[in-house]
Amino acid sequence: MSAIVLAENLGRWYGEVVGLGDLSVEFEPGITGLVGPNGAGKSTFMKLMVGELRPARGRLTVLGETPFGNRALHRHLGFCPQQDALYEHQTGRQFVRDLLRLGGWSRREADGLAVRALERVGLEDAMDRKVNGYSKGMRQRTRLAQAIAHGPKLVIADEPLTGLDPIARRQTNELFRGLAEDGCSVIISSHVLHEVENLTETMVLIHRGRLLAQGSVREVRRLISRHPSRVDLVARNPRRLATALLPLDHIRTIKLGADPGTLTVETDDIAAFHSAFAGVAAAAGAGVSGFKSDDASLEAVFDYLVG
Amino acid sequence: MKATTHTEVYRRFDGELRERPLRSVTLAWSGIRVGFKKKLPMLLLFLIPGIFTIVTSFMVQLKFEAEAGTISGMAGMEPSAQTMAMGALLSSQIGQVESLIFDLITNMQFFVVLSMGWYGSGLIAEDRKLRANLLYFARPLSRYTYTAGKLMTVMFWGAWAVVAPVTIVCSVASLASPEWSFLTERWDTILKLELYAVLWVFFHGILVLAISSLTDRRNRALGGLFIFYFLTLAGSNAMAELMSGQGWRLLSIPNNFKRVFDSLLGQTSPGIGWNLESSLWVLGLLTLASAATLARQTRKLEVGS
Amino acid sequence: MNLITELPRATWLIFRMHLAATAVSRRALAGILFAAIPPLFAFLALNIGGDGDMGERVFMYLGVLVLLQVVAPALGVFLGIGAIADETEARTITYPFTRPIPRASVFLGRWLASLLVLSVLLLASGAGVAAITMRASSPPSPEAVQGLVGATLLAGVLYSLGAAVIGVIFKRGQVIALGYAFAFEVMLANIPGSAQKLSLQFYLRSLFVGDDGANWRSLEIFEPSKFLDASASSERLMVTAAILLAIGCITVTRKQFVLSS
Repeated sequence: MSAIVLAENLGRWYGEVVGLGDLSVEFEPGITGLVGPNGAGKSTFMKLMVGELRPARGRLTVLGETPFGNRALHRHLGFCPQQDALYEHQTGRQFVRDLLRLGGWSRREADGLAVRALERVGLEDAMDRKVNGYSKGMRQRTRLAQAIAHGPKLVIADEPLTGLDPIARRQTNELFRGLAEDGCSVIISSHVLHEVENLTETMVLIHRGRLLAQGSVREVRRLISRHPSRVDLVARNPRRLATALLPLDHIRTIKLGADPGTLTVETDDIAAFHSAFAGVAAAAGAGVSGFKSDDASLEAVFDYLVG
Repeated sequence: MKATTHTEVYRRFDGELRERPLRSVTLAWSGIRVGFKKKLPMLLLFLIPGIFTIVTSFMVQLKFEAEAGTISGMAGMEPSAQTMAMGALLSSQIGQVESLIFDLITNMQFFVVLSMGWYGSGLIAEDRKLRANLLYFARPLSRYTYTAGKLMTVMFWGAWAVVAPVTIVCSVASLASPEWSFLTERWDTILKLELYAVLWVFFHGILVLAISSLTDRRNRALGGLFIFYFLTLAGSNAMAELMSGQGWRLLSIPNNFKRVFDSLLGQTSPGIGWNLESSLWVLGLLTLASAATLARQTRKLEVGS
Repeated sequence: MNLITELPRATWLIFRMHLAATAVSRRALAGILFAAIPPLFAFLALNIGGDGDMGERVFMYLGVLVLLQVVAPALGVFLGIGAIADETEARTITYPFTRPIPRASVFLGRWLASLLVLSVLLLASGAGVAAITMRASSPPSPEAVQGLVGATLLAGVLYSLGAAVIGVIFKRGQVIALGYAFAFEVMLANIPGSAQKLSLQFYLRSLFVGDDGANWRSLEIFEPSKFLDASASSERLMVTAAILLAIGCITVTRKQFVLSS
């Protein structure tokens, strides 16, 4: 399958700050999640993909074209930016329609497409209201509507789920799936791993402007699971709790903390630990009063991957 | 479960807020440090007044040398009657040190207003835009301390551009004058010149801040400052010419400062035909209006937080 | 579609998209107040305390000192600066720049929308001063009115275009544009000698001074000066405008606008 986005040794700096270091990656058609913690370079990469910025080094092609100032490419691209910015004097319908008109559509065609896109994102009731009266989620959906209205081959969405309530999130995910079914490729960025997991199997993880991992979520998870997960516990009788936990197969180490009543457990299988813990702790009568596991966060995943 | 309410955070604070005036210095220092990062206004602020200061200092040096008949080329020679006459002529052409300093401030005033506007117009406007007042006034900081801190910031930059050049030129005059006579005999003039410079900076500083407090966009505040400054200047000059009435000149800030300068230094400038009190009234009213605007706007910021 | 056909079409669309918003923007509303000042001064000069027998004098003084030297540059800067700068500040520039249109059309369309609003304001202001002074005895000559109002409109074109270009190049362009219009221009235009020729005001003044410079001599507060003839002046102003347009279009096409997220 040919790559829709191909980056080779891609670099971009903001003065002395590295936006992207030396990124080489390929995106296949379909839905791909671009995942990384804040400041990883996701937005910079997306701005390079849509031609808002030019690479400082390396090569980048999107749908086989160089993006910066490429009008032919922009016909086939839809971009939903992260920044909450719209033309405040317009209604949602005018906003999407006027942007469509810039793509060469007649007023009538543009209006029809705008209405259809706004309906698709669930804004049919609000489309004739000024955008400055929209909620954050409605504004986000308006940005999505302008990105999909012209039927692009590739939609690039920068943190599209931020600010959406759970129902809108589900609808947006369904929208992306629908786009993919229609043959449109989608690249979405997020710093929340499970957001991407809900939508696609394919992901690209970047960190500090460099590629960290890519492939299916399952493969990356397997990669992550080789590293032990850490759990911090507080108990009335930590020694008794440690003794009760030690026989479990997946426990790698147990350390008693310097503060009284604290202990830290490292496990190879966090899911098994979670299911076994309550029973073991209750049977031991250790009086557990604190349980903290940071390992579900994306930052922890990245910590594991970067060692 | 026993029902409880947690309304403490919504109750009005009945305690006593203690004033700590030095907090304004902290606030000013933070504004000044941010200002140092701005390269272009920094260049404008230092380069243009720097050039004017060097030229004025040179003129002052030349004036004293001409008076003493020791201009380069004549050094080492016994001053003849001819060279003394030439020196006196040159000295009279150059004019008084006070006039040179007034010309220095006048010539660079637009650049200084621009620089002060550049630094100052965002000081409150940006706080409004970013809602930084929520942070400021969530601390034990009164609006007076806040305003004083902001005023100190903008006055710091004004002082660099006006008070420092005046001090340098006065120092050059003192060093160049025979037996430090400019310092020993005319120290009161030096004090008056410094007072004038400080007044100039204070007035423009408070005006810049008042305009900044009226909007939440730096650009609008800067635009407002320029409109106010130049429209009153050009309008007053045009109307004074047309209606042969000196009263119209009172509309202009630079004209009023010229009048104050004349009175302070005992000079008479052409085209200044109104009394000092009128100018003091105008400048006083503008200062009062600026202070009232600042008080009102910062109160809104305080309440809003 | 090629650039030649696409540029005017996209420019027109951008112009239409932003015209209404520009016309009712706070800047334009402030501009109305600002543009009302020269006619107000003219009315005061002729009716309150002034001599009603000086229509031409009032027209020339207010026209040059207030309208041409302050109102036109100030409004030009405030309305022109936003062409691209407003879009970058509002972070909306991403939308037109990710559409299949020439980037220059965003600059041109937005500048033209500002220019239209600006021209209406300046024309109203100039026509207001002219109408008030024409009713007085010894009114200004129609040639002087035409020349000065024409120069004011041209001033609007040049200052707004210059400000728009500065707004494309610099992040905080307004202060640079103001610095140019009110510090450098004022200095260059009003000192005797050839330095005047480096200012726009010199060429704008050349448009209405009359063949023998009589209109200028009536302004006693200015030093007498030797001006160019009107056609040579307008030629140079047009060339300047064309150069500024080219710089603006090329810069906006090539520049990367880094927006904060």
